[in-house]
Amino acid sequence: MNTPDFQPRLVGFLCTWCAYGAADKAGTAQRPLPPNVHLIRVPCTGRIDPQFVLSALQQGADGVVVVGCHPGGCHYQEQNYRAVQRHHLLLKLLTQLGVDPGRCRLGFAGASEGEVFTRLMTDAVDAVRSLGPLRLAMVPPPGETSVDP
Amino acid sequence: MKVGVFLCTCGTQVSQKVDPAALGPRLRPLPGVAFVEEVAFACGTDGKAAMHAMLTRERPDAVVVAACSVREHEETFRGVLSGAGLNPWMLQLVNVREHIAWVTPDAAQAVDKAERQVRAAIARVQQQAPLARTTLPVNPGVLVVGGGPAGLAAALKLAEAGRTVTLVETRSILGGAPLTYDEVAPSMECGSCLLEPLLARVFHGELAPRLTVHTLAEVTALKGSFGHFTATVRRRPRFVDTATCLGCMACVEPCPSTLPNAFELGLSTRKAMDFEHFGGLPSVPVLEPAGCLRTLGDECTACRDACPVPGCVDLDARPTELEVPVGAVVVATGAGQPPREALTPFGLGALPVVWTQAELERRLSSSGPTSGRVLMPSGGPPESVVLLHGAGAPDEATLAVTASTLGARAARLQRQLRAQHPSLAVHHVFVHRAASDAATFQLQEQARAEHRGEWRQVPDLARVRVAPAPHGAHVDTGEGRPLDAGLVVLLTPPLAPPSLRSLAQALGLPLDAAGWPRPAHPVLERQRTPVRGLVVAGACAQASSLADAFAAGTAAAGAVLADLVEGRHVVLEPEVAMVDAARCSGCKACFGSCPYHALSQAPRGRVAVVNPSLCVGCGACVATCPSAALTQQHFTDAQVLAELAEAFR
Repeated sequence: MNTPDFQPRLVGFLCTWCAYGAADKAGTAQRPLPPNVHLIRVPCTGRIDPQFVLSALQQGADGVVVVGCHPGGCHYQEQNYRAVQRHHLLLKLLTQLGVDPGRCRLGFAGASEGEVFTRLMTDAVDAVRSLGPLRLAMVPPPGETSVDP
Repeated sequence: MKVGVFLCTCGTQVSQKVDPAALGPRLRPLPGVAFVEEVAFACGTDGKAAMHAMLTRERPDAVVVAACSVREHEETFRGVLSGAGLNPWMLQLVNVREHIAWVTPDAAQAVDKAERQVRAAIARVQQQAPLARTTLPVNPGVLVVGGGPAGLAAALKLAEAGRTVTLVETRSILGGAPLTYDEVAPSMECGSCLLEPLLARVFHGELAPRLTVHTLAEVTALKGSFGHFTATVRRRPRFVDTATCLGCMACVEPCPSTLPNAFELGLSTRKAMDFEHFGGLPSVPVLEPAGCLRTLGDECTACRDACPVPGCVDLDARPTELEVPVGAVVVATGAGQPPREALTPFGLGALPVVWTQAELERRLSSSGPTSGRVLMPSGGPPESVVLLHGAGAPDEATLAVTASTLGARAARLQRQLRAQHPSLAVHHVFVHRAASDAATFQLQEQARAEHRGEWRQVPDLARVRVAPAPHGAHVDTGEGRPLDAGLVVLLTPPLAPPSLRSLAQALGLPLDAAGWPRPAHPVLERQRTPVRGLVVAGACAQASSLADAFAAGTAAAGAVLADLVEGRHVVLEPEVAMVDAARCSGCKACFGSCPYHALSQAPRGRVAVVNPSLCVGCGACVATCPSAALTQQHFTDAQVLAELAEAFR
C-alpha cells in the first residue's frame, strides 16, 4: 500500500544529550517537522534495548528512528558505537522476520544541529511512507487470539 | 496513583497550536488523572506559585508538565514538586513547545501529537518511583603517582592549596626526566638546576609537612571511588633510613661490590651501596640488592660498619606495603621509550658509533660517565654527527605529533655538541618539521642558521640504513648521497609508557589502543579521565615538552581542587544501574560495556554489583545484560515500554 496520503507512525528514540538537544534546536528554528514521529527520550543510544524497537513495531509503529551523538562525540565515551553494533544486528533480525530493514534507521545529530534532526525525521517518515503500513503476520491484531495451525 | 497534569501555554507560544481547551478534555478521562490544569508561564514566579497551590491542595502522587525542554526546565519543575512536598523524580516533562507547537504547522495535527506524547507521559509517570540524590563525605587528600615535572607541579600546587599530598616515585630520587638532561630546551638551563628549587620545597619548605614522599615505591591497587579511594603502596627497601642519613657517603667507599650503573644506562659502574644520581633528592644512597654480596649469601656488613649514624643502615629491611586513603589520584608517570628492537634496524648494538639520545644525554652531562665530554671509541671527538629524528617511532602519527619536541631536542643537542666541538658538522634527518610554540621555533631557527651540516627531510625513516664505514658510519637516507657520520644519534620519540599498562590495571584507568590514558573529553577535559577522581598529567598522558608537563601538572591540580573540596560531599545521582542479584548469572557481559569501571563482581558470590559513585547513568549495561538482571533507575524497561504502549493505544 504505497499511497501518498498514508500517514505512517514512527517512534523516535533520542539520546538526552545530542539528539534531544538537536530536536530542541529544530524547534527553536521553527522548521516544520512531520508530526508522525512519537519521541521517547533515553539517556544514551547505548541504553536502547533492541526489544524497545521490536516492541514499538509490535505495538503498531510502522518504523523506528534512533538518533544519537555523532561517532566520537558520545557523552558516555563509546556507547553510541554499541548502539551502532546493536542496530546492525537488529537489521539482520528484522530481515529474517520479513520486516524491511529500511523501517529502522539510525542517525546522528549534534546538539546544535537542528537542521540535521529535521532532515533525519523527514527522511525516515518519507522512507517508511513509501514502504507502506507495517504488516506483521506473526502478531494477531488487537482483540484476536492467535490460533496454532 | 493520582497524576496531576499541567498544560503550560507559554503565553501563546504553545497554546496557539496546542490549545489546552482542546487537549484538556482528551486527557481528563484517562486512568489515574486527578486533574488537568492550564498554566500561563509555568516557569515564571506566578506559574510556579499556581502549580504549588494546586499540588498542595490536590496532593497527586505524580506530575506531568507539558511545557518546554527537559534541558531547560526539568530542574525548575522538580523544584516545584519538592517545594510542595512531592518527590522530584515523580515528574515527566513533555516538550510540547519545541518538539510540537513550533514545528507543526497544522493545529489539529499538533493537538493529536501532543495528546499522544502527554498520554504516554501520564502512563510512564505512573511507573516511576520516588528517588533521591545521596551524598558521601570526601577525603580531601590526594595521591600523586610520579615525581617528575608533572607530578611535582601537581603535588606542590595541591600542597599550596593546603592539601595533604602523598607522592609516590619508583626511583630512589625525585625529579624525573630532567635529571638526565644537562640542559633543557628552550631555556638551556641545566636540568638539575631547574628541579632544585622545586625539590627543596618538597622536602624542606613550608609545604613539606603536607607532603609525604615515598621513593622506590609503586601503587599496586586502588579501591573505592572518587572522594574515598584507598591506594595500596608497595615500597622496595632502600636499606638506608632517609630520616637519619647525613648523605656523607661513608658507606659507599668501603662497599666491595660494583655493578653496571642503571641510571647511566650502563655506561659506568656503581657500588652496590651508592647514590643513584647526585642531581635529585633525597640525597641518600640506595643499596642495589642485585649487586650486594649479601644477596649471594655473603655476610658482608661493610656499609653498615662504616655508617656513623647508629641504625641508619638496615641490611635486613624488607619490602613494605601501606594503605593510603585519598580522595583523588593524579597519574604522572612520564613518557615511555621505543623498545631496543625498534632501534636495531638503525645499527644500535651492532655499531659502536650508534647511540640513543639518552646515551648521548648522559655523556653530555657534567655529572655523567665521561664528565660531559663526547668522545668516540677511538678516543677523539666525532667529526660529524647525524641526528635521526623520531627513530623507533611506531607509526606516522607519532612522528607527526612529536616533531616539535624532537626538533627542539635536536636543536638543543646540536648546540651542546658544537659548544664542545665548534667545527663539528651536525646533520639532521627528519620526516616532519614543527614547532608548538614561539620559543621552540626560535631555538630551531637558530640551530638552522648556525648549522654546519645538512637538514634533510625524508618521506619516511623505514628506508634509512646505517652501514659501517672506516671513519664511523654511512647513513643512507634512501635519496641523495649517503651522509658521513662519526656518530649517529637516535632521537627517540616520547611514547605511551608500557609501564602504564600495569598501573592502569591497578587504578582502573581506561587506556586507548596505543596505551595512552583516555581523557574525559578531548578538548574540554585533557586532565580528567572518564573515571571521576583519576586525573592524568604530563608525558604519560600525551607527548609533552617539559614546559607542557609542568603546565599539565598545574592543570591537574586545578581539576582536583575544583572537584574535591574539603567539607563538600560527593553528590550521587539516582539514575544509576541496579543489579537484581536473583537474576544475575555472573556472566560479566556488563563489565565490558562500562568504560567507567562501575561494575564489578560482588565480594562474595559471582553476581555483578554497581558502584553508584562510578556509574554515570548511560544505561548501556542494562541493554547489554542478557538476563534482564540490570535495570536503570528512572529509565527502567517498564517505564519506556509503558510510554510506548500508551502512544499506540
